[in-house]
Amino acid sequence: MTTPLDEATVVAALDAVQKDLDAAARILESAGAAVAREQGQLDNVADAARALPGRGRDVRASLGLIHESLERAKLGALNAGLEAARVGEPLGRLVMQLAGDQRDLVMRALDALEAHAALVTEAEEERERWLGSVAAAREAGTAAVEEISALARRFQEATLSMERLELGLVPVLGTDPRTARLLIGVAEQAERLAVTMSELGDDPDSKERLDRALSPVLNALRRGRESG
Amino acid sequence: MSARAGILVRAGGELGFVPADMARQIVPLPTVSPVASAPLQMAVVGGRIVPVVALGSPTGALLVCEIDGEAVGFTGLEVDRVGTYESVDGGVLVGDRTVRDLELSTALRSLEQALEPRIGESS
Repeated sequence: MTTPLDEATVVAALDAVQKDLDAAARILESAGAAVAREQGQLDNVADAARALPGRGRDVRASLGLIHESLERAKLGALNAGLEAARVGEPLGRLVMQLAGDQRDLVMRALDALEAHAALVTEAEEERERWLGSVAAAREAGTAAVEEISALARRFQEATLSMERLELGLVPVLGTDPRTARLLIGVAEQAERLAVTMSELGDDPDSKERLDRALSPVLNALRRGRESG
Repeated sequence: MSARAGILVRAGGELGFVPADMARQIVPLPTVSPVASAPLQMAVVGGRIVPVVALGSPTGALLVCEIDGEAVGFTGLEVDRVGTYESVDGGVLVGDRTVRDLELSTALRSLEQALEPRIGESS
């Protein structure tokens, strides 16, 4: 045999569970939205990374042109030196020295160019690794979205189960949970009424305060009667 | 003590010396065409056809020399630098090491000898 208090306790517990379910569903929804945003950002990163090979090819093409020009400049310096060597002392020696300096500068530029080409290769390899990581992160994001969707479905099912549970409780408790909720409201208002009455004393505005305190109780009782 | 002007070239990892009165110019490697049934190749340099002797794997440059009044191209050489060096017997002194003269005339003559029997056969 259950008392109205038991029924009210059960209904309050059901309400608490329902509230928790709603809160969890909202958290899941925002988590899903956050993952979707991350996925979008990953897509942007992947698109940018895919555009890099074209730029890498352009850089390589210009490096090739610079290399060719420097090789020509080196040959030019060597030929100038050769001509100067044939001219002989003293003018030839001076020109030969200048041509040698020129050739040394070109050689330094060629070395720097080689270092640049190595850097480009390194950057391209880094990009490949980067693309791999982005793809892996994207896969993980997709899996997370699927899991969140599955969880959301579970929560929907749990909400439906809660509704079914409430209906199933009617014959067990002998009271509709909605009525029990109204009873809880009445009990709370009655408690407030008792407090107000104890405070009334000689207060001249007591009637007005009593009316204000009684009004929600009467309303709650009216609703209880209407819902049967 | 006499000095010789010329270029230092690397052939198969070895440094050699080519005197300036023999080396005419260094040009970017042009298209080199093989000559049928002959160890010699041909290339067009400055509008003239010159025989080309391969002294190693082709590099990006062709060294054109004048041997017995004729222009001859050499591939497989990497030109290191041009300069005036102290003359020693059979070469020059670069720093404290002797760099031998590159025997380009000998290389060309050995090719000519290889060609002679073939010329004889065809006539």
